Amino acid sequence: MNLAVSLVHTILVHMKLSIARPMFKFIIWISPLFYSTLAIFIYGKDSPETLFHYVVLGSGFMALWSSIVFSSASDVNRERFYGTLEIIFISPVPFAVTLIGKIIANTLWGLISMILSFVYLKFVFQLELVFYHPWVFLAALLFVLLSLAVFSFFLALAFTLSRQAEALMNFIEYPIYLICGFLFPISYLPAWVQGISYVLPPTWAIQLLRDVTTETLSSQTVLFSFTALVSLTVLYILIGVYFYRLMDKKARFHGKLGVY
Amino acid sequence: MEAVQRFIRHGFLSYKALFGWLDPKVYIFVMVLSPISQLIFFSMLVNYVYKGENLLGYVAANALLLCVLNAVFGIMSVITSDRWMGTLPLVMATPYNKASLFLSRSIAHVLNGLVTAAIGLGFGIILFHLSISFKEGLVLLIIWLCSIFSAAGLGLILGTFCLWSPSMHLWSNLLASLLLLLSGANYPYSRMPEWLQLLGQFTPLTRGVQLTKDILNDGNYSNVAVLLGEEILLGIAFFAISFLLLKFAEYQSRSKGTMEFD
Amino acid sequence: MKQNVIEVKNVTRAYTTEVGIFKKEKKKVEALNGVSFSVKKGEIFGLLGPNGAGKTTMIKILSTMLIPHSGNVSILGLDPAADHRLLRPKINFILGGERNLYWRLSAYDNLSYFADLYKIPKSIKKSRIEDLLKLVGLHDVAHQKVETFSKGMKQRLQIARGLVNNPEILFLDEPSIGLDPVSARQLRETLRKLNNQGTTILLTTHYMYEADELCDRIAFINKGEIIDIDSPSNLKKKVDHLSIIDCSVLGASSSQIDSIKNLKSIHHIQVDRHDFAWTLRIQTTEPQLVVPFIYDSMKNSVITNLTISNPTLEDVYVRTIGENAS
Repeated sequence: MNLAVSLVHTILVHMKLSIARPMFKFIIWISPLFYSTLAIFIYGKDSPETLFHYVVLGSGFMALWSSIVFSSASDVNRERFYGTLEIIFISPVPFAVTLIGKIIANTLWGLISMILSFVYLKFVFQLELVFYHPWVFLAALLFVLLSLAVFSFFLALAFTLSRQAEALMNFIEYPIYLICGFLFPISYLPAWVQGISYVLPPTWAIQLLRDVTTETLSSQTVLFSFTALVSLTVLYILIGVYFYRLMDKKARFHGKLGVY
Repeated sequence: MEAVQRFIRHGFLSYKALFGWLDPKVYIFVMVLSPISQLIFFSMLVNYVYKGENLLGYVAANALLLCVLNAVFGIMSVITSDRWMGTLPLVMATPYNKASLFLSRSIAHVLNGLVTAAIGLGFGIILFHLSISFKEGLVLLIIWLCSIFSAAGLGLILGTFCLWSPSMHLWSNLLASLLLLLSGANYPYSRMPEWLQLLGQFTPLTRGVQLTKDILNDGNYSNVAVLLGEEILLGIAFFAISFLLLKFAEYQSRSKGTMEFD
Repeated sequence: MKQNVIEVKNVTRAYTTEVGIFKKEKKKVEALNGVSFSVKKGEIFGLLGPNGAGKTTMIKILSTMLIPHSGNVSILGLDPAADHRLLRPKINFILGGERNLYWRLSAYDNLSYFADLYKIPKSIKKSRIEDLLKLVGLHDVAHQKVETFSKGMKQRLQIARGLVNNPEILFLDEPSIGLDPVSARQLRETLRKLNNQGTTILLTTHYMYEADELCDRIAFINKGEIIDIDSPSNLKKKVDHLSIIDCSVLGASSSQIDSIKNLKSIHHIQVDRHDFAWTLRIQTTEPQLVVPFIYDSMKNSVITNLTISNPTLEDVYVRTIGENAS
């Protein structure tokens, strides 16, 4: 019970902390508008379904992803820089709870940002939001958020372990947009790149949302995407746990957690 | 003559002093791989959506846009790094003409921007199996140099704003996004609503992108002189504004004492 | 009669800060409240005072970084507020601390960089840089990056940087902050050498012995006002009728200490306590009365030390500022 309370508390506190930073304000409120506008200018006129799948969902995902990655990774980096990483680590609330709380907070902001881009595209550019089966969409969306949160937990840990995090952070936006097929289908990419796409959760996340918003909803297709996403999520949970243990050892045994 | 030598030496030394932190690994990531990933993303996107039409123009236009890394982020560091180092008050207190000082510092970043854009173009050409002629390359070089100069001017204005506002990341990212959008690097300019098109006439890189597309897609050289002239004028205006702002900042720092240079 | 190179008359300067989150109240802080003094050519002049006294504000005004709200300032016949462009080539300033240098450049490059900013002609630039490096003892490490330097070395390079334009007047703001005693002494030697060559020096500090050793004249400043100006020896003469009694006692009670405090012939007493140990520093004109009293009242305690000496500048300062505060 205590743990749940600390979690909720961490989430709320962190949501406030995050949005207080000017750069994060940009990522949540302004950057989605740019992505959406760019996407719609590029696509121009096309079928509502295509526009929804690639412009609306695509730019929404770009917003969501930017928010998650930027905040999670840079948060770890900032804590390390300020030397507070070790302090949080040994605090009574388990580090994992703090980290998870942060990620959920950032994911929630990412969701808000995504909704903003949907609203913007609907009202400014009169794009149709073709949900077809709204409840299915909602369920899928929630699962997608969960799976992306897990993935960003994994990333945050990877960043904590590695000093190269800072350099990598800048590099993680465009490649993901490209490889995971946010604005165009991955079938357009060379085969070897698609191989990489298939092991990244965001690929299946956006595919799942596309599958549930197709007029001809095929439960087979949806199930396939869903299963792929679940498997990957589980995989990343396992890797995440392994990384976590590794980080714990590195910190307490080698004393290298705070090395910046 | 000595003044010219000082000008050049200052540009070189200040670049080394303020920017020389990039160790090879980080340099590769930030200055090469990251811009290239941006280029690949947009190029593949427009290749898919426009089904290969006018690809060369779009790839080259995106390559030009890569200069924003240096023309905005790099140029801003010309002011903010000095402040972060604690040397800004000392520098401002010297007799050296401040306009020359910041102009000389900007040149290194303009050149760096050209290198970044060129690397992007080379990579794009190889990746998509495109080609450009020597004449086209040469003309592009000149156009791009002027465009990047113009962008640097706007970057310097932003840099001076950072003397008042601490949130430099916000402003720089905002400007980078604006330039990407308004320059029309990824779609026909006419796709934008009229008021955005108008706004784009006042931002750098718009004309550079236009000329790049004209030359590479249509072999059309007729607008070069006019648009290039306008781009250069725009750049001069930006630099002039930034120098005025700098003077104002210095005056404020001396009279109000609240806007410390440190 | 040496002429004045710096003249300050009734200078005021205030800062407005905003207090409160919603209802922003503007609070005015008088950093300088009618300051006047003058400095002669070739003098070493010290501005001494506690933190927040207005020293840094004064230095900033003198070095053209800040404009006073009222009053007149004249440096080498020029107004630092209006004629700053003409004045800057003739002066220079050094701030304490480790920032203010380019740590990615070598010592040589740092000096070359600033020499350019002061438009030092090519013909003399190289020899001047080498002379400066020799002066501050950094000639062997001229081409090493500043990031490898110790604090003392960085401070020495700062001095060299401050001399790159051969200034007539050098302003220093708390130059020996953070320096170890050896480096601080080296700094003082360098400043003396400079002064012998004719440079006028104005420095701010809150280290007494530094001011005592270096300065021809000192001004005490507190809360934006000048309390006293004179040479160190004259200042000490004002209190030379005083004796200083330093006394260490173990195991005394507060009431015993209070009884000493209440003695009439004591002009000033400083009491420090650390667990059972008390340290007293007493200024008095009648040590012959105070000393026996101390021994009498400390019957059940142990006096581990008692010395009688002449007042130092610190005693003058404490007394002067202390009087001003009350």
